[in-house]
Amino acid sequence: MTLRNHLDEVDLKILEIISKNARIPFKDVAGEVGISRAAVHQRVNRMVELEVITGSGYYVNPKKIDYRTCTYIGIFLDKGGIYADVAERLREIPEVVECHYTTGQYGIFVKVYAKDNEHLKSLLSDQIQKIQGISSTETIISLEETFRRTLPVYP
Amino acid sequence: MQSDDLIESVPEIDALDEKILKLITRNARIPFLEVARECGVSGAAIHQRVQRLLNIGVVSGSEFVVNPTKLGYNTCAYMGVILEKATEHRKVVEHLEKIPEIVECHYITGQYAIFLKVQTKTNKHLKKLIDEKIQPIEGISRTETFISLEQEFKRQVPVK
Repeated sequence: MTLRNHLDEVDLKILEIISKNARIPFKDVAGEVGISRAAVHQRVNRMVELEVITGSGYYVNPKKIDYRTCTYIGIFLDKGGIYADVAERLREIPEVVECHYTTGQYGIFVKVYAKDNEHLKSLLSDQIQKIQGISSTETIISLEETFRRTLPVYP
Repeated sequence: MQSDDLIESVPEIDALDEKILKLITRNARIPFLEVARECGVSGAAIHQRVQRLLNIGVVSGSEFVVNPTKLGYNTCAYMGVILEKATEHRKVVEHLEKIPEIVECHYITGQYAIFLKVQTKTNKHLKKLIDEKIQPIEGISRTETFISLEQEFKRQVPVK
């Protein structure tokens, strides 16, 4: 039993397998872990209930559906207290794929995908900077995503 | 270098592909028959389409989304890395790739050269990682870290 939310070794093994391939038949997972298929189902359901697993999906390569510009944008707020309102407005912009409340110079830090630099410009000036409470933004363009992966289930 | 090399071609994706993508990016284990029903085509057609999307790299596999905090990864940080010399870039990245807590690595414009996303168990773990693993890498002059106190949301790019 680990301290991590009462997950045992078997749970972690299952998690390691399915976090990399969500469509693997549970029969195969069962074989690899050495328990029955029903037990795998039960354990996965339990991890969903515990919110260890928050969903599943095929991972889309943004570049292949025309999102060629990947950026991080640091947002300065007029005052710190309006964070929640601004975050709600940012959520309405589908190109904003991640949103964090951060320490340091920025109030909010977001990850944004745009089709090209022109699209990025319009997102910034027509949508993001129009949100009330945002005083200014700083954009960092990623020229290359060298790698992206899920975090290790086993430390 | 030919100019073609600089532009990555975008594969042809029709309305049916988009519809399929919308469904399978939200639920990786959705039965293909259900996708077929919703799209009004046969199950075999869905299989074929998904296989094609995989082959041309539009989707690169499927994943269960794991909640980091439930696995004990309570600290999420972004880190800007400043290099001694820009030419060290490749070598430094090779070292960074060996550190599993680094979940994203970008080559960027602006004040930093490399930009990282890091997941650690605690702030202490983060400090140790910076001190003992990242800073000693030859070619890194310094790093700037900002910690995410809360991830408001995280999602995939919109399929039109």
